[in-house]
Amino acid sequence: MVEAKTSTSQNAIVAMQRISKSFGANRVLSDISFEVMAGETHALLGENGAGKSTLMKILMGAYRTDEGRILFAGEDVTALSLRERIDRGIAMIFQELSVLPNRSVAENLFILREPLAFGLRVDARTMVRDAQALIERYAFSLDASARVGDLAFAQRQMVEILKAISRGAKLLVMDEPTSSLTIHEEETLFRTIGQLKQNGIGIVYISHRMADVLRLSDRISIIKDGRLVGPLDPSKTSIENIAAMMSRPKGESPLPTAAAPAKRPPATPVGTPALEVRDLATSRKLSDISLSIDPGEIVGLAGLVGSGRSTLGKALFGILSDVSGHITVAGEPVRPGSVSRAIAAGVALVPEDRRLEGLVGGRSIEENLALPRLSDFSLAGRFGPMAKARITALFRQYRDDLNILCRGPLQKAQELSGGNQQKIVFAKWLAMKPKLLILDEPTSGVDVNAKRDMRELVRRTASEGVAVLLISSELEELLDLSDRILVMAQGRITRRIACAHDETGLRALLQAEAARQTSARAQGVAA
Amino acid sequence: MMTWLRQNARETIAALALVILFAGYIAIHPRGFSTYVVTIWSNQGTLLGLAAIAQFFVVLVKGIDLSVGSIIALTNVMGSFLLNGSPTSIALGMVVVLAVGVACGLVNGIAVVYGGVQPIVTTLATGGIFGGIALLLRPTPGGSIDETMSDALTYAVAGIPVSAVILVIVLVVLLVLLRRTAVGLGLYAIGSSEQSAYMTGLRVNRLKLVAYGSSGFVAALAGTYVSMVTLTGDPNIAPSYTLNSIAAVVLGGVALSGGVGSPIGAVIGALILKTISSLMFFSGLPPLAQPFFEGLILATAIALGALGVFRVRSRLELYR
Repeated sequence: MVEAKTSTSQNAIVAMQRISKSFGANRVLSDISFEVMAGETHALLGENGAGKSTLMKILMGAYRTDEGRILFAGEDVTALSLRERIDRGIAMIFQELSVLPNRSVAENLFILREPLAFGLRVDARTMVRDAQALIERYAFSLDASARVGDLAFAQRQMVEILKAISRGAKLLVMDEPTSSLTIHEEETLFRTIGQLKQNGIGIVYISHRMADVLRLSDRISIIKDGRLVGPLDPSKTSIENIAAMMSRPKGESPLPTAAAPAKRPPATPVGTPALEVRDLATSRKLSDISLSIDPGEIVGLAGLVGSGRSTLGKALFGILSDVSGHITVAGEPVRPGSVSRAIAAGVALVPEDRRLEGLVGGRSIEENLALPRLSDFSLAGRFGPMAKARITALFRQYRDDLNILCRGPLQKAQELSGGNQQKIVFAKWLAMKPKLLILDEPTSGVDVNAKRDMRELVRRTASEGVAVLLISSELEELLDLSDRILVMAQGRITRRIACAHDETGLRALLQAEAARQTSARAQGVAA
Repeated sequence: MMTWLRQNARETIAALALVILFAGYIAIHPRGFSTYVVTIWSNQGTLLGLAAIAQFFVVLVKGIDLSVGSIIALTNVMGSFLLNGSPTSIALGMVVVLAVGVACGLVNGIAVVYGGVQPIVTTLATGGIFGGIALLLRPTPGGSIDETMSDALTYAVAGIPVSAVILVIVLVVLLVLLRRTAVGLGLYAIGSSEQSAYMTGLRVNRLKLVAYGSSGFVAALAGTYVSMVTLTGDPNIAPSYTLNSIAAVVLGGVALSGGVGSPIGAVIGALILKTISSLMFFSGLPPLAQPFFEGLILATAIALGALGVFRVRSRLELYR
């Protein structure tokens, strides 16, 4: 291995230089240089799919970079494996923590390197003492002998962070660390980050919440379409500024336009709305949700990660058991809390995680299509034989209609590409003739052409009189498709806007709403 | 044809193995290929085959049933009390025995579905209970079974063993139910991906109860057929049926992770096991060494079943 000492940046713990990465023909990162100093918090912003996680996976060593190199503490680590990089001091704090809930804090901190008495027995007393010393050094509020499962999430996060540092981590990557925290706990995390900085640890802070980022970080970089913008000085920029940098100029769509998108006449309210929700709430996340969607209308649901958008979708679809309030679908009240009741009333949900929740991957395409209404294909009741030919006919219809690329009706659903899988999920609900279609991030993880197809499909579905509730983190998509947009923050609908906004304006608005709700809550906690 | 073979690769390989083993068995057997030999083989195979189908239903929905053997023992013992006398009382007895089997299966299903207890723990406990009831009812093997009925069900007609006919009928009925009905497709769907199935509006809980109930029903068929073959009720047969039924489904290509496999595979697996143990019996292996080799075969079968481990995309999937 070639070890190259450089002096490009004084004090840089990590320097990623001219990184590029392609998956097949798809270039996801081009010529990115990114540095973190000792004791610095460098924030990384970007939309879903912009390339943040790819860059971090390259940093960790899970992916190999196509070009460029990575210096860690002045040493070239480009060729090292993930394991070797962890040993050298790069650590990632995941949203899903890797702590053992049934063990004590001390045991978690020293797992696999417990202090031994006489080389045999784990010396529990020394272990707790060492753990407590470590906790005090970083001034965390933790009890070394507490059971981790009994701790609040923020404290478990501290254990995770301490575990990494006590193993010699000099650089911590935090991916959306506030997403599972309460307001109160967020303050704890921010203090923790302050302590880490004082101890000379570098932090990559990935978040969607610009207010937090502006407050916490020493430098801010933005990844947009695989390129890096910045670094920026947080004291010389603003949310509006960053929002503008993350957005595309108006009218410039990233999607190839094959045919001009069919212009849809705006939905005209006709009698009963397809969906009407009054005072919907869940015990923890949602409160005060009221909305109404007309047949043929596309309503976008905007908000930051953790604002409750997906939770609302799930509540409407009957997945959550603790929903109170009134849901009316096409004039008929639907008691919340049962998926089959929701489906019977005409509600359909295309979930975000299609592989786990949308498709039965191990079964054939035609079975997946027929699954929501199997008994309709039965010739005689539930135990009666099925009309196989009708199922295959259903498959043919939607294959041609939605342009699904596959080998045949019996191909397993899991063998299809992401875009085609999504079309299957879509098709199975379209076949049900739903009254309300809830789409949760319908185009995440599919390629650009499939994205274009999906958008076209959403428009077409709406023009056939189906009400659509569209949840998307891609603001451009929301603005492109929706007739109007509801903004969510902290589990409430805080704004209703007509679609006049441009992307920058909407982005800044979302950040402002999130910040406003957060401070309102914080005052509520303090009071 | 080729696609069909590829889609049913596991069953195909198992069937080939069975043909080879069966040829070896016939070659080694002192009486060679005769109605007598085939009938004995078929009767024994049917017993284990039905047990394997019972196990299959539970494994299909991501469970495992350690009480299959006990349900077989219990229904066998009940059969030794009820399956004699006038035709009416035999018919009535039959209904009771099968109902007991379904009830046992439903008890398992209710504990798993509504109690939220893991299948392995549930069936370990209920297996003890079912087996215990069998022991209380008949502490030592005994009882009587209607011999005319036994003869009719265990001999051969025109050179074809009646047991084979029974097994084929059961298989055909189940295949139609599983492949061509809403309930069958639903069972495969929840076995493959319970979350997706739920999110698609399938009534997951009810379907699971159907699976456990069907398992109990087929186990009761097996118990009844044990009565026909042995003409006694024996409470001590449970452990060997439980263990062998699990090995049979694994050998027959049924994935313990759920959603993959067919009752045909389970039956082929059962026949393979039966043939191997018969082979050992005639190969002059000392009887005391047989459990060792049977254990070895089971371990190999289960290890082969676990080879799927190498095909997962993400290592994390293994720990779900």
